Amino acid sequence: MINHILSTAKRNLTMQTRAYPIDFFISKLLSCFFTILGAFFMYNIVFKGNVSIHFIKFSGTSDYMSFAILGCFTNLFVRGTFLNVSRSFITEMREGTLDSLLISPVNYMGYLSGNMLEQTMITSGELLAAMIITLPFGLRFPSINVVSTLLCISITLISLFGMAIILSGIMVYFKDTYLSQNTVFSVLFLTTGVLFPIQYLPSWIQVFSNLIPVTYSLRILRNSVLVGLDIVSQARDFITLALLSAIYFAVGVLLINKIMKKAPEKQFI
Amino acid sequence: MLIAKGLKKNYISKEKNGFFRSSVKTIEAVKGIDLTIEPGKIVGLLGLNGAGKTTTIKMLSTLLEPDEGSCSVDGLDLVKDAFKIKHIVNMIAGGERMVYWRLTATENLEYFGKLYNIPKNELKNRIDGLIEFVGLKERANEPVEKYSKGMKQRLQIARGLINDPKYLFMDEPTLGLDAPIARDLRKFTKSLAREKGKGILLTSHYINEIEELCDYVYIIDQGLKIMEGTPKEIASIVANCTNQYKIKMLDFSEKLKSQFETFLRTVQSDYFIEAADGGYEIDVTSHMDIQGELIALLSQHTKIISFAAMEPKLEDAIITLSEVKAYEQIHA
Repeated sequence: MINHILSTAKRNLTMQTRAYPIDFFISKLLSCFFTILGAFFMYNIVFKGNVSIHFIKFSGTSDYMSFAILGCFTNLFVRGTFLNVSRSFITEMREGTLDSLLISPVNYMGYLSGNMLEQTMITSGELLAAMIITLPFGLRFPSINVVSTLLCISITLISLFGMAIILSGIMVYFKDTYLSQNTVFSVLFLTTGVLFPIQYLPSWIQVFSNLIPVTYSLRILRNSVLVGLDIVSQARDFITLALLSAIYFAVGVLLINKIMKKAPEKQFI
Repeated sequence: MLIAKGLKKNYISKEKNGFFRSSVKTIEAVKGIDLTIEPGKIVGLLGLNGAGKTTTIKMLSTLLEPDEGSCSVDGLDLVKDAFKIKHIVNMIAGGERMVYWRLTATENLEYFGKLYNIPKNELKNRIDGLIEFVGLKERANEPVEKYSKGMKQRLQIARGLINDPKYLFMDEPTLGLDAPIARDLRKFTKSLAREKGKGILLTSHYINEIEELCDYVYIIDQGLKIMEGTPKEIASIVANCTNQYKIKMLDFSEKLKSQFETFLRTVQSDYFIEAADGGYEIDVTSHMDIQGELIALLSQHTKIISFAAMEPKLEDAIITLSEVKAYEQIHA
């Protein structure tokens, strides 16, 4: 399996360096930039740099710009990893390489992990570029808790991988990328608290938000970076995030094995 | 030995009958095929487009799970032991796909080799040998997207051999290849079977290729096996079942028409006639060799301007065989 992870990551990196989709990169960067710019205008022009007492209560901070910038960075990272890993099998199908892949004794999890590894590396680079261009908007880490932040990122990667496996199966089953990925990303953007705390949402949407690991990732990340909370004081969120990650991962593994068995015939019908 | 018995495969698709309504449609791609591939032998699988050749190959190569029937490969079960079987089979399909266009030939083979967990040194030697064999040595480090169609096809052949498979399924492997490369591939295919003892299943539209390479041939139509035999046996059927004659003659009187149609009925043959250049042109299709009888009958009544017996084609033979099969099924 390690062999399959490393060789798939290497293959993808080679293809990326040979034909890096620069327009896609710029589009992602611009999308992140304009979202932050929009938040900046709203905060400074409409709300004159003030946040309500409710916001401070829900988010634990009065620094709205750092709150929004962290949200946008997380969203960029989620899109980069989750989106591209979930598209990997259907891309093979469309490019006519799925048969040669599936005829080999490829380990599906090894293959997808290789994609995840490569995408994490690429997206981290993109995130660095996003950080540089959004510095003027005022992201501050006054009391970051590094251990808690790193643990949050690690568990988030597992949860994103689990979610990507599920979406990958859905894409292959319905032979669709556009509708599924756009729906999923719109829902994630709206319900996980990228630009505002989820407590502002109607209570029935909050139920849905609480089933998505990204909601917890965002909350833990902000509490660790902006407030400096440690692991123990966020234990409940960490445990929920870990449990959800395990559930998504398990469902993903079961689903992908079942769907990939039928994938070659999906090409005919 | 690979032994398949009663393999069946259906595809189920949804057909939209309106905005909210859809119905399920079942397509019977393979309706029960038996075949055997012995190590060291080349077996041909022939049929028209849509006959079920590719589905059969995909089932045998573990890509598709059969709905019914069984298949054992060296004692391993095709479904239960699919993972083990993947190590000893591979498939080469015609066309330019099945390789990564943004990678070089070497990178493609390296990637697929690693999926088979081939040790590093062995993989390097194997890649060098295969690249040499398919004639891509000079351009082995160029991205595949810069290759011609034939070069991509040659790389695909190398990919199909990367795991040194014991059983190789070749789905029109010479499609789009230049004549010398196609000839080399045929020679290599023969040596894979004869010298290295590999069992090979080959589909092709070229009768010469089948005749030259195959030890045994199966003909399938609409998912069913309609004939099997050695190439010699198949060739004799081809010659007998698809005789076509093009005749130009001066006149086609009512008396001749009557006698002509009576004769064709007795030999279960068809004809098509049209006026041309002040005379008549007749196309006759027959399952039997009736050249002598036709000339004798026509020359009694009219002047024959030209008479041409067309070369029998494999495709015509398969069409005829499938028509005969359909006729037999209707009248069974």
